[in-house]
Amino acid sequence: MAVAVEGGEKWFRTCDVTGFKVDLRAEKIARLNAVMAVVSLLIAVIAALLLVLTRWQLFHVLPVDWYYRVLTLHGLDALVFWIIFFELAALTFTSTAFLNTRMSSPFAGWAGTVLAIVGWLLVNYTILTGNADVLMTSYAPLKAHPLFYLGMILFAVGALVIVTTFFANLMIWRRENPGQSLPLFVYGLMAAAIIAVITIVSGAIIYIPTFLWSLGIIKDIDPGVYKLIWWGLGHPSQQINVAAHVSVWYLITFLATGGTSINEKISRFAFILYIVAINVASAHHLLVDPAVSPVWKVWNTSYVMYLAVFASMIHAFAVPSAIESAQRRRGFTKGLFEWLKAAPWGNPAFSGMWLSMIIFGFIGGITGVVNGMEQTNIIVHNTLSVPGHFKGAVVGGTALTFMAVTYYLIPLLFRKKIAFYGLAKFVPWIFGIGIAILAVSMYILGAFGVPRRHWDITFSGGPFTYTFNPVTDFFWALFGLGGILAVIGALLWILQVVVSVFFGKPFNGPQDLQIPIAEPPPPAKEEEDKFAAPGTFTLVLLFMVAFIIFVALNYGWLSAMWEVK
Amino acid sequence: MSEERKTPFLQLVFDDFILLLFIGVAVYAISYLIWGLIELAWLPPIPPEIKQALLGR
Repeated sequence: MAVAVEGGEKWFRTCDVTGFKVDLRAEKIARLNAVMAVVSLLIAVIAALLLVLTRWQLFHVLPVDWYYRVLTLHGLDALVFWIIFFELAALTFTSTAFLNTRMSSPFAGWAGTVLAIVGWLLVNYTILTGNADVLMTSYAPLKAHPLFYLGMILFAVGALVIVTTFFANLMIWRRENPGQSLPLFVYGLMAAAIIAVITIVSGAIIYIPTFLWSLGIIKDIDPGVYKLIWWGLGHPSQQINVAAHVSVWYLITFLATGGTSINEKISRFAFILYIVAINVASAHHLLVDPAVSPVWKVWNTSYVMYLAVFASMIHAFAVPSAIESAQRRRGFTKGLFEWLKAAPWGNPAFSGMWLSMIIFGFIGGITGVVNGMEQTNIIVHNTLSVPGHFKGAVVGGTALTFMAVTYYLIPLLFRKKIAFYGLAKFVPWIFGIGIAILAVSMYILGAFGVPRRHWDITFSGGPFTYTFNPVTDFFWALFGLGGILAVIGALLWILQVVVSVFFGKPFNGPQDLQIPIAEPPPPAKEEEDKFAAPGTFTLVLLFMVAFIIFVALNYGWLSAMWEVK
Repeated sequence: MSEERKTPFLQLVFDDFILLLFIGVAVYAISYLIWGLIELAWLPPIPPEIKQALLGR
């Protein structure tokens, strides 16, 4: 498809690996956002190490004020900035290069990026100077310095501007390609962008009055209203991640194995279920709040939210089955799992993606459903199980997926060779195993009643002290081990990315490609069309059994909570 | 047989990202945000004596 654009071909390069026409203006914006993502991750990881070594009372390194400061820093840099900057890079790059089209407005792209960076600077500055010890949620009536709220608003506006350019890019593409459907990967990112609009608008609705309140212009912020609207930002911001990382799973599956969804319509339908149903899941953050009715809570969590859970289960079948189908067409047909054994495990993007699917599904997904049900939520409410869940969902799911796909982005977006490529094969495993251990140990500690966001769970020096079951000592040690392992994995990845991007050898073409891009598999034979993915079906059954056992256990524990002895 | 095939209705819906944006915003706004805000708005105000006792002033 020819690209009609003012300025002609000077704005474009043709990728010598993919054949895509890359708009250089979009590429620069995407690169800057990707760099900001990695800087944010570095801050988040350093903060994470300090937090692990503080909550593990054996070390308890941070004093109380710095604990809450660093916790605020970690929450925002890890859950908001690292991930959203990365997504802004992905939206900008994919809506141009993957669609062979042009950037609708480079000016808007730059303006959005600059606003987001200024916002990022203000938020980090106010936190580190002790002017915003309000944690990520910044629940009113906790009050931070006005610059903190201004920073959040600027970041949100900047992100919204870039999301708008994404939609404008899609409109240009549609005009140039009437009647065509978006490629599945971009379609998933479109779902992420729609969720982002809802998220950012919610953020604006609540942060603007809170900013005015911090300036003294508004007298009061109702804490109930704040919490309701803030979670319209807080949880959906993680749902952008889910849609984005699932899209990246499809992309890596295609790049690493040549596999495509065995039923694209169903995969697209699952993304639509995300658009429709995933954001109302924010309601589970208010399950123990007395102000909203049980009908509101149950409708939004135990009914509508399950449509989004159903969507995730569709993707959980679609992505591995795409791999299995491609592998079987290559001749790996022996037994149920030869296709998996013969998968490209030496490719760090593939191993990282596979680990992220396992961690996201078995840890983040299953625990998320338990946390999201009104009945069982009370068991985990405000315990360490809650961050244990999102270590599995966001860090094991999204962060690991983004880290994995970066091994493709270094040559294709930054045009650099991957530094220490031999190390890359181990990094996803170190990080993934570390996060899995950390998430599981946090979830179990929460089950023993260990609270989240608490500097000193022994209440030492206080009028009341509490001693937890001694078995928690073992899980604290696991927590420390998992946390340190994950930090090492993340730091190694950051080192690789920084050295590659800023000091790496230039990538001069396909001959320099270290990470393989798979050839398309041969077409399916007719008899194979009957049941394309028996191995995946077995894995899904295994997942369902784990899911049922975990839910049943939680209902058992719930009944034990109310036992009168 | 005609070369031109009519695009199926569902595909038209699936491909219309503006429509999907509208549906996504509408479901969230009605089911979560507006309904939640109405419930909060209908809460009876806290009796002054209880508020005073809670705040200690």
